[in-house]
Amino acid sequence: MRTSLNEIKQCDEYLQGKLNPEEHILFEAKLLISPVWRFNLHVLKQVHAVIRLYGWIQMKKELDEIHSRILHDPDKKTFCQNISNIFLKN
Amino acid sequence: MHLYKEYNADVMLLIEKQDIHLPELRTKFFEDMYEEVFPAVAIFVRHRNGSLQDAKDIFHDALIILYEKMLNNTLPVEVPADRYLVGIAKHIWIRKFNRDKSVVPLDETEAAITIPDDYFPAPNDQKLLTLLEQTGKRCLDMLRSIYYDKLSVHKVAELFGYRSVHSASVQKFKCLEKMRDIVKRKLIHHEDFFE
Repeated sequence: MRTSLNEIKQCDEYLQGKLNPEEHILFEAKLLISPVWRFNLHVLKQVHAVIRLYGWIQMKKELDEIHSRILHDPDKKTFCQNISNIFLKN
Repeated sequence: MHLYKEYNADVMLLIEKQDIHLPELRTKFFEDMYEEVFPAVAIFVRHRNGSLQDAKDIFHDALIILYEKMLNNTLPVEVPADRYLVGIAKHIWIRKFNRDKSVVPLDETEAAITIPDDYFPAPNDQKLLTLLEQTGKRCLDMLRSIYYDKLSVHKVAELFGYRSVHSASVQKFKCLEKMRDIVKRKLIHHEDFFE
C-alpha cells in the first residue's frame, strides 16, 4: 500500500485499539511531536462518527419498512387490531 | 415469550457466523421482536399520552440499541429479551422527553440498563454525512459493514465482490482516505461549518 494509506491504516488501528503495545507507544509519540498526525487523527475520528450515523440511518429505514409491512400484512390482522386498540382507548 | 437465553444462543450463532448482517436474517430477528415486544412498548407509551408514532420511534431506537449491544457483546446474558427491550424503551422515553426517572417505573433490571450517551446523532455529523455522500454509496455501504455491522474484511470481500481480502482492505483505506480528505478540506476552508 502507498504511504498515505499506511498512515490511515495506523490511525485507524489506533482508534480501534488494534495496535500492539509497542506500536501504540510509538504512535502516541508521533502524536506528541506532530500536529499533522494529531489533525489527521482528529479528522478520522469524525469520519468514524459519520459512518456510525450512516449505519444508524440505514437501520431506521430498514425498521420503517418492517413496521409498514407488519401493520399492512393481512395475515397479522389480530396483531394490527391489538395495536390500534391500544391507541383508541381513552 | 422467548427467553433471552434462547435468543442469545440463536443470536450469538448469527453473530459468530457474521450472518446477523445479512438483511433477511436480521429482518427475521427484528420481525420476531416486533410481534413479541412492540405491544408492551405501545402500552407504556400510550399510558403516558404518547402516540403510535412516538411508540414506533422509541421502539425502533430501542431495537437499534439492542442490535448495537449484540454486535459489541455488551448484552447481559441473564436478562430476557422482551424485558431488556422494554427497559431500553423506557430509558429512551425518559431521555427523549426529559422525564424524571423517578416518575417512570423501573424495576431493578431495567434500572441497571444504560443507553449510550452519544446515541442520538450530533447535528455536525448530519451535515458531514451529506458532504460525505459524494464519495458514493458503495464506499459508505462498505464502511458501514465494517465499522457499524462489525463484519470481518473477509466477509466484506465476499459481499462486495472483491477477489481477495487484501483488495477489500486496500479499498477500505482508500474510502477512508477519500472521506478524510473531504473533511480536511472542509475544516481548513470553512471553519464555520462546525459550530
